[in-house]
Amino acid sequence: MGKIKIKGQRLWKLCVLIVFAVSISYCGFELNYTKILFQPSTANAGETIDVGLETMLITSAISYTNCRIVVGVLVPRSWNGLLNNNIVATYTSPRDGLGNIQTMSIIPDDVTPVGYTNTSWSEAMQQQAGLLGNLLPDVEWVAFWSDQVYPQISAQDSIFPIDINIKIKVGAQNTLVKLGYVISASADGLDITNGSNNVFVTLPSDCFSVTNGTQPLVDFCNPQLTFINPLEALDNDIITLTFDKNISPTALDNTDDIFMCATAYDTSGNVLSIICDQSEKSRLTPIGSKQYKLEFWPRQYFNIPAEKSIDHIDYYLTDASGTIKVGTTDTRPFSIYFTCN
Amino acid sequence: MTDKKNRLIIIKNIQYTFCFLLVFILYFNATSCKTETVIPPEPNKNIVGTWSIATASRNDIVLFDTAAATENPGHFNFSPFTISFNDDNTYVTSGTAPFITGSEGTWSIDQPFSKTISFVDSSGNEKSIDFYYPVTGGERQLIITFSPGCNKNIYKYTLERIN
Repeated sequence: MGKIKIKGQRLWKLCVLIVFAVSISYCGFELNYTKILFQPSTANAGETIDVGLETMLITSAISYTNCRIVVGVLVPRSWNGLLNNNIVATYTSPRDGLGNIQTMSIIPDDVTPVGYTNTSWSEAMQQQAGLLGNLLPDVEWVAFWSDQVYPQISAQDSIFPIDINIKIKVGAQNTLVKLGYVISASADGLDITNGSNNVFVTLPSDCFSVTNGTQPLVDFCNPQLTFINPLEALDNDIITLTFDKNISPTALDNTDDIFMCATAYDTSGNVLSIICDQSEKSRLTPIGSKQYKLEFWPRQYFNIPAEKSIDHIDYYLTDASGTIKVGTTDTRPFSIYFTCN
Repeated sequence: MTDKKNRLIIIKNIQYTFCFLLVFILYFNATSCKTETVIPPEPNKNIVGTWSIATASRNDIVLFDTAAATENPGHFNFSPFTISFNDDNTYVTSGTAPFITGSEGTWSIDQPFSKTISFVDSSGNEKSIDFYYPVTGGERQLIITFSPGCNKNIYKYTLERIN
């Protein structure tokens, strides 16, 4: 009986060592191959859209207990994602038998993910994933977890593919918004803030459009050339209109003489007043950094009689001659709607 | 010998008793003094006169400040605004800045503790605004807060007397 000679013995030993070293460097499980399978790019107001996500839970050395799959969805607040099953999330997995739809529920606010204190899952998603490119903050993360609690995810479950379906009822208003998703997991001791675990994956998406809904268009995707302060106002408020040339090039780039050309409408759509004369009262004042401001009291500015009120204003910004006009496009004006909820 | 000693002891006892009694009497005298806290009477707030806007803010952001007008270019001009509170409880505003009520009518304050001014304008609309009436730099200022438009927007006018 002699020594068994293995060809390239040293090389084999090295390989085993490397594989061993690599496998014990996984600190638990990770989500891999995570992606958006499908999401429509547009929908009519009030419709329910179908979104598909998929991921694979890969485990190794360490086992976790009491594991739930977590899914987050980023939607405008006005869509009321937390109420009335406006968003429904489900998933299937071969581990539970393909064809058995697994249900998910909204994670209660008092559940805190490991790695945080006194923070709900939706707040944690906001902190880790953010606004995903939306330029207005009026969006929220709606967090779901599986109703099924997996008592132990261990090396036996080494590959655990998950197919997620999310039904989202879009809101009533014309909107451009960047939807987004998070896939994660909740388990005893599983710290989602530990980046090396790869157990918190953010999936941003392109700009989604809601059409055939109510005006005005709410645009989370595109930087706004003009913005109004305060966000909610009536015609008896003081409105501060700011035009920011830094946002994007316009036909007014070469002039400092900028005027508001505006039409005020009542709730029936009748014209109450038009001020479009490039007079000093409609001039925007340069305030530095390529920004211009007009601050006005709509009731006084448009001389509205006591018994009438303004529903909205459509306006363009023009040069001193009135021939160069900048709106949302050069044929579609900017709008200010006077609402107070 | 013991006689003298006894006498000394008796005298000492008398001295102690006397001291004790003295302290006792003094204590009772001191505590028998009645103290009265005097609350100065709340003065009536006399806002009669004509006032103009020194500073105006909306949601805590200053929109206008007579002292620093040039630092806020393009601001809405609050300087023409005046409000006159007359002796006969009528009021008149110039109508040149947002306010919560029509430009003429009657006003009242529930003296002396009230912190609101009540208005009834010539159309019969009744509104009240909160106010306070501090002394600043030796002068009375009238600071009023109200929402002329959307109730989410709070305006504060700091008024100074011009007449």
